Amino acid sequence: MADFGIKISQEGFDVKTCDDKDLVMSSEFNLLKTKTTGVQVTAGTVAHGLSYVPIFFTNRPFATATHYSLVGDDLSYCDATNLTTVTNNTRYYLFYQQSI
Amino acid sequence: MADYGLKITAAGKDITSTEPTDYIFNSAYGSVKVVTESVNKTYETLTVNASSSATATITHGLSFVPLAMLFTELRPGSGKWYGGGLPWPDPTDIAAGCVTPDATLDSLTYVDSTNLKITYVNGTGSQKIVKYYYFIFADNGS
Repeated sequence: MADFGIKISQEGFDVKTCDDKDLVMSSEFNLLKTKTTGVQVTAGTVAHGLSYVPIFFTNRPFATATHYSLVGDDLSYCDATNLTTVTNNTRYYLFYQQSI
Repeated sequence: MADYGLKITAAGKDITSTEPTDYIFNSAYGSVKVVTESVNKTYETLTVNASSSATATITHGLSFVPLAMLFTELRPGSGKWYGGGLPWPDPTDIAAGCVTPDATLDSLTYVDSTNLKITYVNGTGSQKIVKYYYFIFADNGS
């Protein structure tokens, strides 16, 4: 890449010399851009409006509704049309970037 | 949306593009923001005694349930980090002796509006020092 762009370092790091991991952002690297987020109250499909499978995160609640799982056991999945959740009140984050 | 902000296109893309994926950054679209991660950006450890369990509690200081990610080396020293740490790791790790995150009760491994709480169960006969790494994001998905 040509030597131009924007870089912002974390506090305590010199933006001119620090490692990439110590940057808050750099225009050299693509950032996730949020398409939409929400809570799917009733498990089912969320039409994401993109023509490809996007990057997504989901987070399902346990039986205690205020507790959200950290153990990677959410069976939500995505195709080129919909995000499909399998647990009521799953939170979702859909990004513009294509995953597949 | 008001006509102000910051946009950075990918190489070869025009700044007038209306296609979100043409941008490296565009302030018209939100992005995930890491608000907290493991101390000193290195893994943390939790000692789990033989035939026992142990819990780590991280207070995130946010007023909502944040998006969070957890990575765990379920079998210490294996170099294999599980995303979230499914309760069903690779059989080779089970055979060699690993811990599992406890999700049998919904009060043991979760994120809520106050804490990120992690409980590991050690069903083996020897103490395990478990490495884990987490990210907490300033996004709540609602």
